[in-house]
Order: sequence, then structure tokens, then C-alpha cells
Amino acid sequence: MGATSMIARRGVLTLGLAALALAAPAQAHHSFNMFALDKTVTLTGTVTEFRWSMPHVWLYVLAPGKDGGQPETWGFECHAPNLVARKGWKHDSFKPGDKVSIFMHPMKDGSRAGSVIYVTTADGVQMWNADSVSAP
Amino acid sequence: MTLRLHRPILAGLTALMLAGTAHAAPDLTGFWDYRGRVEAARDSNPPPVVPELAARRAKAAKAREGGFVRSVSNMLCLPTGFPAMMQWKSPIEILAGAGRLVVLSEHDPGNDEPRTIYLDRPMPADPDTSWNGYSVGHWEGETLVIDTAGFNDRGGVFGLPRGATTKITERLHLEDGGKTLIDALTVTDPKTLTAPWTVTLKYDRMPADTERFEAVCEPDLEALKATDLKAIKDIDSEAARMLDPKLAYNPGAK
Repeated sequence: MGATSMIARRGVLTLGLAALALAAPAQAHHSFNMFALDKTVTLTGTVTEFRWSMPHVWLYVLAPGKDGGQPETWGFECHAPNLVARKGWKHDSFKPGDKVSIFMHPMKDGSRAGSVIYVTTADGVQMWNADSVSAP
Repeated sequence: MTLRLHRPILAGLTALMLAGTAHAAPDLTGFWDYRGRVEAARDSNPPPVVPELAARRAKAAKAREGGFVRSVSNMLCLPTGFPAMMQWKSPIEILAGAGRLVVLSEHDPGNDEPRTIYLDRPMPADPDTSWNGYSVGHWEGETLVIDTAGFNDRGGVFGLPRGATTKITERLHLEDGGKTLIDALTVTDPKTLTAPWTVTLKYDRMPADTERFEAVCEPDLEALKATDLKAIKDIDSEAARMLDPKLAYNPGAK
């Protein structure tokens, strides 16, 4: 229901539910061009830092390296605090050591970063950052 | 039994109250979530721009085709001004009192000032120019009519340049039992438009307990340093402004 209502709420551009078009200014501090919005990846790891900052909240996660290599730190970009706070996030939602699973759009260039769709906590709670899977 | 006895009295009281509020202005206060333009698609309602502006717009569109072009205004966190300050992913809050309405925006791409709409006052003959302009409003039945003039020559109106000749008349009303706010803006400007142009914005009412968040924009000086101002000066007025020695921030310094 949460995901469905969120899609209904914000899926205007992607789903064409209503005869509305979001105007050009309705975007964040930068373009989302660097992220592959047509791809989704899930990455599981341990929180190393949670930065509650403008213009974007960042979640840093230590995840196992490729093919059993050394663990590597990933940076995950979220929306501004005022936007994610209305989706239930708080400045202390994540603490170092928390096990999390990140559902995200990876970087186009393959670097260790992504635009968060939602974070799943160890308790199985989905913390949504995006408005829907297809809308950042 | 007690209820039944009181029912006629209650009905009478309710009727009295309704009669008393029939002519009260609709309540626009609260948080509003911007849902976009009502016009079917932006392309279906293009501005009737003067020929001189069409060339510049074509150039800007071509630059955008080559990739995202971030504005200098965005890097510097300059205000977006009215009407852009009412068109973000983050909500607006409308407050009322002391003979005015105030629109607060809450978004980070620019540090916007509150927008004040003075009620039942005449427009000053020659208002000082500002990012939000000078707004006066009055109620016509259930519709709030707002006239705005006195814009500075920075920011923009739906992607068009603006200035002292720009005027906007808004007609705001509530729909769906107060759950939806409609704001129809008619722009006139002999410098940019050949005819009045109307854009209609739609908002959803947010819960009454919605709170305001601070959303301060932090300038991105790194991005500014990496930007070739000369290359974009024809399509970015703030880049041109930064290159103009007459508009230096501290003209007295040598």
C-alpha cells in the first residue's frame, strides 16, 4: 500500500496518471543524469556514516567487494532532509554498524555510488527516498 | 430523547452559522504540495514570445540537448523568486494575518524570501523591484485575485526573462471541498510576449499538522569554479552578470 500510494501520489511524469506535467524547476540541486534511472540494483552492507545534510542526505555503506575481495565503501545519495523527513526519516534513522539493504539506481559510470529508491532496515522496514521506483 | 429535543435548536444554530460564514473568504492557509501545471503538457501551451526572444530560447534549448546545463543561479543559491518559488518538489506554506497573505517556500535550489500579498490595497505607482515582485490581492467572491508587478530583471517567469514591464495577475480558488488549490497566472510583458499568457498551477492540501522544515541552500563554489561563464553567458543571465564589470559586487574596490 505504501509503495502504491506513493506511486499514485508522485507517479505523474512516469505513469501519466493525470493531465499534469511537473514544471522544469521541480528538480534537485543537480541533474539525475549521472544515475542509470533505467537500472535498479540491491546492495547489502553495514552503515559507516549517515550524513543528514543539505542539499542531500548521504548514507555510506561498507559492502563486500566483488568476487570475495576486500569490503568497499559505497556512497548513496538521498533527497534533502525536508523531503525525506516527510517520508518518516530522522537525523538518526541510521547508525554506524546498522545492517541495511539499499535498493538503488547505480551510477552510469560504474563508480561506487547510487541514487536511493529505498533502504530496507534489519527489521525489514522499507524507508523510501524516491517517490517511486521509476521517479527519483 | 435529549438529543431529539435539541435537534431543532441545533439545526437552527447550524443554519445561522452557515449564513454567517457564507461570504467569508475561503481559507487558503496551510501547506500545499505542488502537483504541476494543469495544462495537458507544457508543449501544448507555449508562450507567445516576441521574435527576438525566440532565437535566444532556441539557443538555450540546443544547449540543453547537449546535456544538462546547470544554472549559475543554482550554484550560487540565488532566490528563484515568484512564481518559481511556488513550483518545487517541496511544499509551500500559506499564512494569513495582519491584512496580508504570506507564501513561504521550502526548497534548497535557492534561498527564497517570503512572498507577501497585501490585501485590499492599491498597487504602488512605482514599486521597488524585487525577486518576488510587489503583490496586492482582493477577493472576488470565492476567488482571490492577485496583481504582481515590480519584478527585478533576474530570475524568470516560467523560463522567460522578466523585469519592470512584467505583470502577473493570479486567480486562486479552492476545489474538491478545499483539498485542491488552483492558481491561474496570466503573464503580460510587452518585452517578451506578444499576448497575455496563462499558466495554471495545481496544489494538493497537506495534513493540518504538517510542520515546516528548514531547507537552506549551500553555494556550490566548486561547480562555479569549473564553469566556463563566457561559454554560457548568452543563455545564462547570471553568468553574464558575473562577467559584467559594471555589476561587480564591490565596484569601489580596485
